[in-house]
Amino acid sequence: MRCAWQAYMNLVPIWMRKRVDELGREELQELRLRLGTPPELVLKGKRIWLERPVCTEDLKFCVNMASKYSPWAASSVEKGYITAFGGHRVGICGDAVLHNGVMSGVRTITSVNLRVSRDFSGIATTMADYSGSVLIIGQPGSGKTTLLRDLIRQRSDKHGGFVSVVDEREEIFPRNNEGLCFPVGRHTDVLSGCKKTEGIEILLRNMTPETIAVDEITASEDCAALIHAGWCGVKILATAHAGSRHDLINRPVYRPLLESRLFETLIIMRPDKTWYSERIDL
Amino acid sequence: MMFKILGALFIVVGCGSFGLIMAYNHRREVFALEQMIAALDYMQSELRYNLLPLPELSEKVIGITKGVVSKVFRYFLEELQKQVLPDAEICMRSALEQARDVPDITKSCFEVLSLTLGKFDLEGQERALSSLRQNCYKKLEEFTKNQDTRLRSYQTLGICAGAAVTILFI
Repeated sequence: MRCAWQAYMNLVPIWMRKRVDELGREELQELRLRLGTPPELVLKGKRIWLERPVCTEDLKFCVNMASKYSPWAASSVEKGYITAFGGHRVGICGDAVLHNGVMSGVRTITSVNLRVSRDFSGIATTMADYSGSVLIIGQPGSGKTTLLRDLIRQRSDKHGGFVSVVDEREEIFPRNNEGLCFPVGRHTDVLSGCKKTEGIEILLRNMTPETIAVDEITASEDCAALIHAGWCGVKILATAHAGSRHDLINRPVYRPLLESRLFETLIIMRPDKTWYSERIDL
Repeated sequence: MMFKILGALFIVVGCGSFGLIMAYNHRREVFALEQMIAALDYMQSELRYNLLPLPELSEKVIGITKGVVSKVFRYFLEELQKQVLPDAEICMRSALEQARDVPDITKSCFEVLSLTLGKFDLEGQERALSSLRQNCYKKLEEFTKNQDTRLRSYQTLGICAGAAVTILFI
């Protein structure tokens, strides 16, 4: 298991670092900070609250550390999150600032969720033999991105085909000072921080991919770009938010994707981070 | 008599040095302001085209500036990299405290800069830098108006004042 733990600790307000380090080094999944209430540590199977309540300065500290004191450099602030060094995602809630009806930032921060990014090598070994397109679905926090990351590596190393990744949120293969935090595979190219729709076009034109991988399909434009890539003969590895096959079918945004019969295999994540696969035959 | 001559010499040299120091400080302030404008100019361009975060931005500014401005940005970078202070304003204030010998006008520019850094979206940050740069230009213009005459005056005034005091004493 790999984790840029020091990078995570740098995001945590100084007064709680020692406790978080002691309690969460191995098992911490999320640290939730809410204004006026004690910090909540979400560990594997249990929750722990620290004593002192969180203040505004603590929340600002987390956001400043995650954005390297530079909110403009993290364009995702307008979507309510920042991906920090090491791939740790900082979710932000508070009073939204709207420009022409579109959220452009958060004025007063009231909650911050610091999610730990961990990498597990070899969890997708049995999946490496699936040669077609694969869609991974699951609830938030069920381990979709972690599984996708290893699947990309496995496919890149075992099949030897070029795998190109559009890493819009910089969570699949995050960066640190030395480069990428986690191994990407011998034949993998990563386009970070670019929108999926544009990124897929760029990769198709320039990188001659056999497989394109993207994380968290959420918009109909993403689906259209994937279908386009699929018709160009490229295999797709992707993740989507859906608790079950039933949820997936009933979400209108995914309908064109399913109707196009782009994906051959569906991987369903359970809340306990285990998974099972099904053939997509709709 | 010997003491009188020595004393007179000291007074002339002392007053002359005072004039020279005034002139030196003036030149220092001008140089620092010019460097500050160059830094702000560079920051604005880098922000617009590369969206660099503050630590990387400061590193680049250190590379293109000289003297006290470069020194302040170096201390600022150190503070940012420590990831201990809660925001960029406090990091800049700490850097200014460490640098100490920043000329007054340039220091006030840095203080204004600290109030804006890391607080806005890209557009806001650019606007803040641009307005500060214009401010620096104005200050520099005011400061350099009749600069040569003024510098000569400082130096001669110093020496003349020394001579006058000496004559009075003798």
